[in-house]
Amino acid sequence: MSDAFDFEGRRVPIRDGDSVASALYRDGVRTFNRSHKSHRRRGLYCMTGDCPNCLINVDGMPAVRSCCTPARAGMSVKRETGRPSADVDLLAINDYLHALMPVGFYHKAFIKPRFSWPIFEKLIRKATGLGALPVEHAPAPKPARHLHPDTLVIGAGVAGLAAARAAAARGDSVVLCDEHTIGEKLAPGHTRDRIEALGAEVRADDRVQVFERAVAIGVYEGGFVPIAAADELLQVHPGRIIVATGAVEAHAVFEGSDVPGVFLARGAARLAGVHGVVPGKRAVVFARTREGVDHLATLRDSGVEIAAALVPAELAACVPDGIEVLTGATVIRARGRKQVRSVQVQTAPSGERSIACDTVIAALGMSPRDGLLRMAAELPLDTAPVGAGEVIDPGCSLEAAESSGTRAGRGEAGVDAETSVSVLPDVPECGYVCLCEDVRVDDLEKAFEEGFRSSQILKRYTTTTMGPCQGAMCGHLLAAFVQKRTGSAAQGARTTPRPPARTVTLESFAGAAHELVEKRTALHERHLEMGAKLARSGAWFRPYNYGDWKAEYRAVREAVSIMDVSTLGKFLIGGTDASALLDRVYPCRIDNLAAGRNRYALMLGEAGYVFDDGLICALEGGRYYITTTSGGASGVEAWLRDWADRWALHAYIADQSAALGAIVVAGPRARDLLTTLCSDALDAESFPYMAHREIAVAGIGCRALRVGFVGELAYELHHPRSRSVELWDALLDAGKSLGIRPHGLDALELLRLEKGHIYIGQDTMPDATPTKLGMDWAVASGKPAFLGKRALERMAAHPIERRLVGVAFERGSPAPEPGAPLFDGERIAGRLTSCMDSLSEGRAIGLAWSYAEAGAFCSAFEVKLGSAARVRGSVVPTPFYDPKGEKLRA
Amino acid sequence: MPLILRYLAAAKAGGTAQWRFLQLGLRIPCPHCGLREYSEFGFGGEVRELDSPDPDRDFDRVYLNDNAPGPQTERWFHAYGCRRWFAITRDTVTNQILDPAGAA
Repeated sequence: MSDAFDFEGRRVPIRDGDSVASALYRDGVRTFNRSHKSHRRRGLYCMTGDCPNCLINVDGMPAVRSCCTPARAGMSVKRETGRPSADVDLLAINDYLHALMPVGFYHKAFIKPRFSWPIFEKLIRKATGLGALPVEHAPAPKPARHLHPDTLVIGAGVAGLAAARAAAARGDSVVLCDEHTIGEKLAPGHTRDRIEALGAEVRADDRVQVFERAVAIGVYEGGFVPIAAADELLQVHPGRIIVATGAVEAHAVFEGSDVPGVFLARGAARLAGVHGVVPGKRAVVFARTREGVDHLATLRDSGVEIAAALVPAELAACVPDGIEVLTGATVIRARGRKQVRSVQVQTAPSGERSIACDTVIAALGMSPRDGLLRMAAELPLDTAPVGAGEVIDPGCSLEAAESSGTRAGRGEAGVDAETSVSVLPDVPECGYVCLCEDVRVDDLEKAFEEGFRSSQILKRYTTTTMGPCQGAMCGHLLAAFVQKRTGSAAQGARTTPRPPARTVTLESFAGAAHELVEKRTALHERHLEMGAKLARSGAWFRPYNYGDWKAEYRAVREAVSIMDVSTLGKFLIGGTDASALLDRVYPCRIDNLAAGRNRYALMLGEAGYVFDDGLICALEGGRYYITTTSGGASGVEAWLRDWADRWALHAYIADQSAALGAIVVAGPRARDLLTTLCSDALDAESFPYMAHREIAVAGIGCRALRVGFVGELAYELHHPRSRSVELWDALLDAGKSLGIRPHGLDALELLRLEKGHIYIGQDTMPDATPTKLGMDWAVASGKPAFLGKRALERMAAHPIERRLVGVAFERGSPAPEPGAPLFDGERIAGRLTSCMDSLSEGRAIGLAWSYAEAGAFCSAFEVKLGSAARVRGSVVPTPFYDPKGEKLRA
Repeated sequence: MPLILRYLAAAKAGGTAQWRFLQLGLRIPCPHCGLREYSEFGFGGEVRELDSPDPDRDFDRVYLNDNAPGPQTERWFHAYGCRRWFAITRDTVTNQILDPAGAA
C-alpha cells in the first residue's frame, strides 16, 4: 500500500518527490482556494512558491504554500477559504458584486452611522482571510542560533551555487540557503544536470554550509538576515550578501487569467517534468520567450495535447513539428469557471478565434525576484550587496548565470540593484493584477482617478503588492501601470520592499525569544505544599495567600507570621568610596548612619522623580548592604554602576539578590519566636528598631534587619539561599505554639496600607517627587549634593498640583476598586491607587492621588460604585494603624 | 526600528522584559567583551554633561534630550555580559557604529 495523506476526509496517494500541490493535482483537485475578496476559484499557477494560489491548511497550519511543501504520509490537508467550502462557496456572489465593492469600499460604506462599523468589521473579517490561526496550542518556538559567515548567498540556483563555490575558493566561510532543495523545481535536462553537478561540488566543500528549505525573511540593519530554516531560525550576520534569488515567470494578466487551468510556464513544466503530473489534456501555450518555447517538448512528452502555440515570429522555427503555430497572436480571454474551457485568441492582425482547451500556459517574460536585493540595497552596508544571475538579468542563459555567480562570489561583480532595472511589462487592459488581494486593472484605474497617483500610495490604498506574494506577481505591473498613466518614472517607481520577503510563521519569530524570565524563590516547593495560591508578580512567582488571607493578617497583628521576601534586591556596596557613592545617589544622609543601623531611602533620578525605595544598612568597615524592591533590583544595580562609573568612584557593587534568601518574621510574638531559636540578644535595647545584627537562627547565620513595613515588631532574616527551606521549617516548627502561619501578598497589601506605606509603581506616578508623596522627611535637603537635588529645588519654587494622600470611606460601604476617580461635585479631584476594607479600622481605607483645584486640595469627596451609588470619603492622615509607631518599636 | 529599540531599552531598564527579542541586526562593540549581539545590552541614553551649576543648562541637561537623527554618543550597559557601562557613537538612522569609544 502506497503512502497517502488525508485531504478533507479522502485519501490522496503520494509518489516520490511529490509536493502537497502535485499530489492533490494528480488526484484531481483543481480549486486550491478561494480568493480574498471576490471568492473566485484559484488553482495552481506558478509552482515556484511565489503566487498565493496554492495556499492551503497543512496539519493545522494555515496558508501553507503547498507547491513547495513536500508531501508526507499521514498529513492532514484541507482548504479553509470559501463558505461553506472551497468547492461550493456562497460568497462567490461577491464576484458578481465586484463593481459594487471598489477598493476601500468598506472604509466608505460602513462607517456611517458610526456604530455600524464594528458589526460590519466582524462580518467582513469572517468573509475574507487566508484561514484561522491555530490557537488551541501555543506554537513551539523554533530554536535560534547565530551565524557569522564571510559571505551569505541567498538562492542555490546556478548563479548562487557558482557564487558560493567561488567565494569558498577565495577562502571565505559561506552560508548558502534556498527555500527549496537544490534543483528540485527543474525538469530533468541540461540545467538540472548542471545545478546538481555544482550542488555536489558545493556540498563537498566544508567552507560552505548549505541550508535547504530555508527561507531568507529579509535584510535588516547591519546586513542582518534572519533565515527560517526547516526546524530552526538562523540569524545570519554576514560580511557580505550575494542575492541569487532568480526570476519568476511574469504574471499573465488577461480576462480570466486567474481561472484554474492557467499556468505560468515554469510551473506547468515542473508539474509535468518533475512530478509526472499532466497539467491538462489540451493546452494553449502562450509564449514570448525562448524558454517558454523549449517547455513545449516537455509538456508534449508528458501527454498534453498542444492545441496551439502562440509565439512571436522569431521563435516560430523553434516550435516542435506537429504543433499549430499562431505567430504574433495573443490570448485576450480565458473562459470557464471551475476550469478553463476555451480561450479567445486575437490573431494578427485583427481576427479573433476561440480555441477549446482546459489549460493555458503563459511564458510572457521573466520578472526578477529581487525583493531581498532591493531591500539590502537600501541599507548602508560596509560591503554593498550584490546580485547574481537571473535576479539582475532575468531570462539570461545558464552560462551567463554561472559566470555572473562566479564573478559575484569572487567579489568582482559590481551590478547592484539600482543599475539592474528590468524592463517593465506591458500594462494589461483587464484582469487581476493582484491575486492576493483581488485587485483588478479597473480597480487600479478607479483608485488612480480618485487621486492616488504614485505607486507608493496606490499600493497603500489598493493593498496591491501587500499580500502573501509580497509583490512577486504584481510589483512590476503596478509600477508599469503608474508609469503609463503618469508618464513619470519617479511616480511609477517600484514600491519599497520590506521584510518579510516571504510568509513567515510566528514560530520563527518566537524562536529568537529564548529567555523566559520566570523566577522562583528557594521556598517555591514549600509554598506549593502549604497550598499557597502562587501567581506572577513581575518575573517572580509569589504566594498571594495560603487559603485564608484574613487569618494570615490576624496572625501578623496578633501573634506571629512569616513571609518569604527572597525576591528583594540585595546588594553589598564596598570600596573606599562606598559611602561617597551612596551619599551622592541617595537623597537621605549617609554620613550619620552608624554601623549597625538601617535607614529607609527613596531612590531619585536626576529629574527628581522617585523610581525605587529600599533600606540602607551600614555595616562595619565602611561597607553597606542595601535592599531594593523586587522588580527594581536589576535596574537599581545598573543605576548604581552607572553613577559609580561616571563619577569615577572606587566602589564595588556585589549583587547578592540570588545568593541570599530573606524571610520576614513579623508580629507581636516575633521576638518570642526567635528567642527559642537564637541565643543572641534580641531585646529592644541591644537590637532596636531600624538596626541590624548578625545572628544565628536555628544554627543558620542570618543578617537580621529590624524593619517596619507591616507595622509590627518584625525581623527580616537574610540568609544563604541554600538554607532557606531549613530556616522556614525551623521557624514554622518553633512557632506552632504561638499560632504561627505564613502570610502572602494579599495580607501584606492590607498590612502595609494600614501603615500608609506606598508600593512603588502601584501608588506612585512616573513623575512622583518626595514632596508629592508626602515624604519630604526622606530627603536631607541640607546635603550639598545628591541626584535630583537641583530638580527638587527647581520644583520647590512651584506649588504642587498633585499629592498622594490617605483616604477613608464611610463605615459599612464596600471598598471601591483602585483606579476609581474621586469626585468633588462633578470635578474629578483625584484617583485611588490602593483601597481595601481595613480589618483594624472597620472601614475601607486607601491611598489616592489628589488633584489641586486653584491651588487647593479637597478634603472630602465621593467615589462612584457601579452606576448610581456613591460612597463618601475623606482625606485622613496616615498611618491608620498605630500612628505613633509603638508596636514596631516594641 | 528606533521605536522597537526604545521599547526594548525601556523594558530592560525597568527590569520588566519577559522576553528578549533578537530581531535587530545591531551588534555593539563592548570595550571589555568585544562585538556582541544588541540584545545583551541595556540602553543608557545620550551622553550628557555630568552636572551643571547653571540652572538653565542643568534643566536642558536633565530633561531635554537632543534625540536628533544622526550620530549620537550614548551609553550602553552590558547587562548579559560584563555588567559594565561604556559609551559608543552610533548613527541613530542607520544603526552604524561610528566610534567604539571605549569605557566611559
